[in-house]
Amino acid sequence: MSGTLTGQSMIDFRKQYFADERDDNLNEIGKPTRRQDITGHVTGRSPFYDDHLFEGLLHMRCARSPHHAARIRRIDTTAAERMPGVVRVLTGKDVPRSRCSTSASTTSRCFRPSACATAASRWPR
Amino acid sequence: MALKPVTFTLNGEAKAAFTEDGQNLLDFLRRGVGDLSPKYGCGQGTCGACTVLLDGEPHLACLVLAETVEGRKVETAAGLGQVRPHALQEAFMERFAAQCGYCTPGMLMSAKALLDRNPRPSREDIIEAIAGNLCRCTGYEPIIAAIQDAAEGRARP
Repeated sequence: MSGTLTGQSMIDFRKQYFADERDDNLNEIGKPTRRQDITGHVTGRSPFYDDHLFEGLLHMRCARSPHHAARIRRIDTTAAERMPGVVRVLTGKDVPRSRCSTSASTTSRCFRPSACATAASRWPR
Repeated sequence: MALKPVTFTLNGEAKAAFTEDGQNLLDFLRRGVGDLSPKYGCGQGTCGACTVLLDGEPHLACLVLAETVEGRKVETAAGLGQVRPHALQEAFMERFAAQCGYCTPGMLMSAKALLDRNPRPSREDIIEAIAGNLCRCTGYEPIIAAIQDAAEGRARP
């Protein structure tokens, strides 16, 4: 690895080039090394998506049709709206031109939610 | 929504907080008490990511009613190795027994319950103890090896 264009060894070149990064003297190669995030994992401190809790956080649940290609005549949301903590119930009427969010068409698709409810609690009762 | 006061011990520390009606222990620990180390995986007792110890026994926090921990001892991964790393934590770090790390707190609690009641577990005992904890990064072998290491004192204390 020695003998480069500038006459310095590759290691010296790398040291100079990456001078602002951590000391890389290549002594990790060939040895087992610890992951840098492992301490957080084993102490439960690594933040995952679900760990970012903040004031005003709302949770959303989607209701999907239990039947594929069935005709949606109507969606009755009154019971969902009455549940304590529920902030808003969305159906296809709220997003008339969206094709990828709640279904506004008259034909249900199992993979496409027919209605969504947002609530202050993940488990509204 | 009625609130109910609950006093219990969390990782050796006395705690008092209010639970909502029918709130499960996982939601109570995470939102009510602020201990984020038990993880919400499935919410229906399938994955084991929310495993905590109740008086030393492993329980799925998502299936336990929060008010039932009144006066009991709750242990979570956040309480492991408060002074120096627990043998299990050392072994998990040495053995590369985590990839994404989401199952790790639950795995640690199941493993701790096993080692507390059986300090010399066989490979089969270990597999049985973590049978309720799913790891989707397919890391079971390093996890089993790490628990074996911790039991045999191979991991640095």
